Amino acid sequence: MLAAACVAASAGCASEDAGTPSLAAAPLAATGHPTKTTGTTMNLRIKLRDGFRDQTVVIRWNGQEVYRKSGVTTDLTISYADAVSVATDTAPGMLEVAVDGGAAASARIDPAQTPFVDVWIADGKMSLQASATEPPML
Amino acid sequence: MSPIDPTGGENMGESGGEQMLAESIGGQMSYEEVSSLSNGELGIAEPTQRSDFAQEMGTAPEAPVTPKPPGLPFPRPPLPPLPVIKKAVSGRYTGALGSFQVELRIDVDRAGSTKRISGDFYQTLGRTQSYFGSFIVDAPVVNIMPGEVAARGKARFTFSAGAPVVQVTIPRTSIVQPQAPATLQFFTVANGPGASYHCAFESVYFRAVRIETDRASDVSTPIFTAYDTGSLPSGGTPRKLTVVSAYAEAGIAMVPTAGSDSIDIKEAGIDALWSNAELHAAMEQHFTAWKDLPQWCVWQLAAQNHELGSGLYGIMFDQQGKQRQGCAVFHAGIGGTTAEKLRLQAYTYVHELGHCFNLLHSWQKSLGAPPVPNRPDALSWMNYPWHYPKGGDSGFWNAFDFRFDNEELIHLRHGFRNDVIMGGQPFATGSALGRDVMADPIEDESGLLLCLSTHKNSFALGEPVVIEMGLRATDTRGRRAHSWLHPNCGLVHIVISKPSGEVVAFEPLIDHLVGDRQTTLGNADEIRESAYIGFGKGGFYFGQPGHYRIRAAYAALDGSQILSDILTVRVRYPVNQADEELADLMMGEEQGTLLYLMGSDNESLRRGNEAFDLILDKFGDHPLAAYPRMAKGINAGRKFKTIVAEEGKRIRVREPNTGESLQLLSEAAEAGVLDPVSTRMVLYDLSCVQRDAGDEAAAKNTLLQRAAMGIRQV
Repeated sequence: MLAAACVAASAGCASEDAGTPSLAAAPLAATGHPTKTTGTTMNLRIKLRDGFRDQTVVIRWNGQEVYRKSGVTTDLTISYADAVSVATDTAPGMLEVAVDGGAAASARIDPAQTPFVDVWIADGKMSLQASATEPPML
Repeated sequence: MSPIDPTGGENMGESGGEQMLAESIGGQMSYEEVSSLSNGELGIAEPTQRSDFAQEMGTAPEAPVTPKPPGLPFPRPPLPPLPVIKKAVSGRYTGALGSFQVELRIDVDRAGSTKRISGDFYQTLGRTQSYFGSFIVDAPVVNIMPGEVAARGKARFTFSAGAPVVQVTIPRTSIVQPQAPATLQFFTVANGPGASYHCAFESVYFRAVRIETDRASDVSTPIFTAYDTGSLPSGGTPRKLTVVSAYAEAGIAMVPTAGSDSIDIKEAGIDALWSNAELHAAMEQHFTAWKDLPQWCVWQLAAQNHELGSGLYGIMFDQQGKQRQGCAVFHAGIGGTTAEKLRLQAYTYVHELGHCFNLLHSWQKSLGAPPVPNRPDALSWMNYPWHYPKGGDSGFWNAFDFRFDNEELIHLRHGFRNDVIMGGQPFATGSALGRDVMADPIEDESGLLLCLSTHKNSFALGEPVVIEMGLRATDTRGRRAHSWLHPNCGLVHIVISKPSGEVVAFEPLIDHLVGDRQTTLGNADEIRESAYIGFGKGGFYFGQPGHYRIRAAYAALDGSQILSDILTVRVRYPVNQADEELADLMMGEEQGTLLYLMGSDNESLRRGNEAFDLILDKFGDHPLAAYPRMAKGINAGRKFKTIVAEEGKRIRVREPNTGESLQLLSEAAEAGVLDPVSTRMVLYDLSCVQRDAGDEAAAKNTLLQRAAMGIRQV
């Protein structure tokens, strides 16, 4: 079952759990490129794609928990489970994604170059795929 | 022919087999004759390289031209005979035998054939027709001869087949002749003859699907019509592709229906972004062919944008109820008229429809049920170009020939019917594990309606599950029907799908042989019955928490099988220690037997009675206590005969314990826990005990109370 998506394009979207910093409400431009807010803040858009089966997922950016949700399940028709948009500065940082009791991965991400990160789980292994433009879903 | 095996494998002696064969029309060859023939193809033109399916209505392959001899004063050599061009035999055929109908798919001799034979069986009983099951021969031995094509192999079935070996023989005809019928024969593993079907040719396509395409009113770019695959580098033959021709190449006839709606964008809400729920509602509203039934019909909506944003190019949104009947594509991401956009549209439109056929993405095939190996490097409509491991986007498009891969073709053409048909198995559930006894009938002209209900949506673990059945006439002229609704009588069958997915038939502890009891049901009439189905020959049927699906089938006088709707009940988890203890006390084998029998003095059920006594003693105020009260109260109110050979008398009769019965039955009726029909039964028994005890006034009051429940029965 597709978990309720906290989509970056929706303004005012907040994380489900208390204590988690609320996510940036800056909408994405139609081209899929993030719009920079005042100063050096931008959005890192993280999508959970294939391989999630009613699991608890935790995402950390530079050591800070930015997402925690249980019951995350991939909609196999579009290979999409959920998304989170993280307000961050343009400096590269460490992204960590972990399934409670399951796969985990981390990678150094440069949001200014690759603001879109798709998280895939295949054969029990998690991979983080960063890209300059938003990979489509269908 | 066995009524439960269309392959005719049961009780098929030699005489039965010859009779079966005699019923078929046309010639057939024995296995020995087929095996002894060699592959002698003499100058027969082969089908063209591109799929023949896309050229069904086009030109046939041209005959080779005999060269004109030179003008010399020599005797002309004799001209070789012109070769006769024979048609390929692959395609769809239909036949019938007894109550069974078969749709046969032969896929052995056209370009791009998957070398398989498959079929779907249907059964007509009375005035109802239902899907029965499917089969597929994965590796037939195929002999293509000048005059005939023969193929034979062992099949896989969705049901237990007594004759699992399939043999198909089809005479070859020339291109100017009509296609010949096929003979479909079944054999046991010992080569004993089974059923034989004479199957008329229907189409070169293996399946036909009606497709309706609607558009949302805010779509600002043209709806996709065609893409020239030669306009950009690709991996195959340049050609003009439409959605219809893409599926035609796969052997599927997509038949566009009339009635293309423009759907007001207001149906997507104030934000003009479609949610899956809004898409489903639009489908139910606008899809002309929509029904809550499996059918070969699909709806595709061309919309502008989904609430997940312009990064979502398309979605098969229909994942509720009878799934996979509709999909949507979103022009915010794919709209435009450039070659790249047209290519993307072709890909997206075909890809989403592929999900409606129950195809998963190429790299996630292992996530289906049953799982199969992933094919991340497949050059298929169902892969993501940007996900392609051999060069990403450009690597994919440069090599892609705009087709499904071979395994997907096998699924589309030969998958078991319910794994493919829209509204069949849920998405990603591929393989039928057994005969689909929960399947809706395809046709029901019986004039009868069977309703199934319970008096509550959920039951405590250990609580007796009692269903209520009601039979009514839908024919305004009335319908003749028997009134034996209780499953004990063998004329109504109950099927239960457990939370584990296991599907079992309820088998009553004791079978009852009943006589003829018919009535005519008018519009306002109803036959009602309740049945305790918690315990039977299979033990406890609701012995674990979770969701159960229940369906009843009524065998009508004309042979029709009237299926009720599927009833879902939930068995709750125990929430405290008392619930756990009660569940254990209620769910012993003896307790189940006592509930089934409505109590007993039998010594072999002593421990069950002791458990009921403990429930009344320790949990007397608990709602579940009403059931032991009912069973013990009914038993106490009747005489009970026990055969005791040791004593001088052969039969010992225990007289009714009126006082105990009165108390127990009164408390059971007043508890308000029992289902209405059981409550009426308890009140009736209570009135009898009251009358036997000499209290006519109380008996009369009880009967009035019973009548006030307002259930009118025939």
